[in-house]
Amino acid sequence: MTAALRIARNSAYVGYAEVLASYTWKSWLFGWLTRVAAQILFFTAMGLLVGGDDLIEYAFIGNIVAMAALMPLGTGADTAWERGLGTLPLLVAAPRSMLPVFAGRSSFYIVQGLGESLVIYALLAPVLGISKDWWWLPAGVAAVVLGAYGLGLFIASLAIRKPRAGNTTFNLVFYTAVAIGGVNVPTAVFPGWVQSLADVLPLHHGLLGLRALLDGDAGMEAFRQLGIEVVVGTFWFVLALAGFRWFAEGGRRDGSIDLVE
Amino acid sequence: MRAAAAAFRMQLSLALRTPNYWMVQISTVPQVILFLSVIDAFDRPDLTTHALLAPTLIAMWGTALWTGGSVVRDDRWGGQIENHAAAPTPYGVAVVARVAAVVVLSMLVVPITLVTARLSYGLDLEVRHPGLLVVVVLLTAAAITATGMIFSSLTILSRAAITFQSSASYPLLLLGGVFVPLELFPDWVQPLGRLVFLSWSTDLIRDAVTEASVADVPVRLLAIVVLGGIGFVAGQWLVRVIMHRVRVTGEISTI
Repeated sequence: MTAALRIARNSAYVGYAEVLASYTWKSWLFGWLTRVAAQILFFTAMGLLVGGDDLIEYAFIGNIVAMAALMPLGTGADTAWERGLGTLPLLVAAPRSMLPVFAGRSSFYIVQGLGESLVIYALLAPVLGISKDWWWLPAGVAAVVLGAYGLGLFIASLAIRKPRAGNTTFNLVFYTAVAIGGVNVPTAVFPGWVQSLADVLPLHHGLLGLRALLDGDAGMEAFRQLGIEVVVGTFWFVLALAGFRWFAEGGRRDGSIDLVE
Repeated sequence: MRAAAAAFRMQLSLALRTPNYWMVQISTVPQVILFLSVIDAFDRPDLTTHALLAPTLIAMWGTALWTGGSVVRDDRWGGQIENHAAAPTPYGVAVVARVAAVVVLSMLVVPITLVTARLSYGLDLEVRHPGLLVVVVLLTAAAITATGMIFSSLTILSRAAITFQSSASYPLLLLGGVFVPLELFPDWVQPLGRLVFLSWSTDLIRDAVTEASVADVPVRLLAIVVLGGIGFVAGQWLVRVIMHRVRVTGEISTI
């Protein structure tokens, strides 16, 4: 356990250093943050055509939270980068589980997703004339990014076997969660089986709780929904634990992990 | 031309056996449901064309940007970019041919979108002017391929440029009126949007599907051709200038 924590801590530092190395302040501000803000504005602008101010406000909050979940959920796709960097065979050959490596390395995405969502809210909410109990935003977004982080790790455990399918799996899961998770329209508009699917994906419960808090309804129900979002993340984290054991380490034993480019 | 055809065939074959190249087609399904759920929730069946056009063009534009960047990145990682610098065929020709191959594949999102709409919301799209629609979609695909090169060229100059490259995705989709037509945006945005070929494409596609009579077709088609052509010339010029620069400074393998 101590060794796993040490690996996770060192990996977290590597992940932090990697994010810092990936951006200059200019490329972060004018490249990445502009892209995230533009995507949020694209979906928020739907209200100009349909739904009016109600949809503008609803989609703005929903898409800010969705974009916060993007990075931690994208953890799975990082397994492909390990291949590109030539470190995947080393991880496969190492005696320890790969979970602490990926869990640690992508933990900074939790901070990144949370921080960026707050910056974008602060920049765009006044422009769009949206006034909410914004001080609840960190708590709500934190619950969602934790939920997304758990699922992202589970995707990583699958993608380790097929890194070349990592991006596809991530995109499918992310856009499904966004489509049905109450980002642009309430999940309640979908059939029962779709709502059941949204129940076990990140975003749905976190957004229910956060929207209530932002509207000034800081009752037990809002916190219960945020709690469920964290439980969803924990559920996927436990599955990721099993996934790394069964898929990755099983593949290591029988040589079925695809090491061929 | 032979080199371009070879690059096209090579990329097609690579894309057909690499699952990650299918991410756009696969993620189109939830994107279609996303847009249809919005117009359904607000009871606006008149906006079906808007809701089906948006995921289609998001997929095609996203493909051109993502592939353009990843082609250059993979060439850099694989040590191929130095060979391209030494080869007589301009690098821009090889990249644009490779991007064209995946943009052609990305057009599969058109049937995927229609089937998803049929299976999820029971919608069938009736097209008033199918011939015009096909012409506009093909011209738009060509313009997407050509314009994407402007952003791909930046990734030769700097590894960090891939971040800037992805920043071109949604601003252009927004200015291109991909879901919300340009005329609904503030006045100051509209002249900017008219400089983006997508704004001409989206208006013409929606009119080809829904309007009994489509006005000014030659002028509007010409606008897509001219703006796409400008994108092509600008993209090829940028690649040439950037490749020349990194050759002269000797930085091609170090940046």
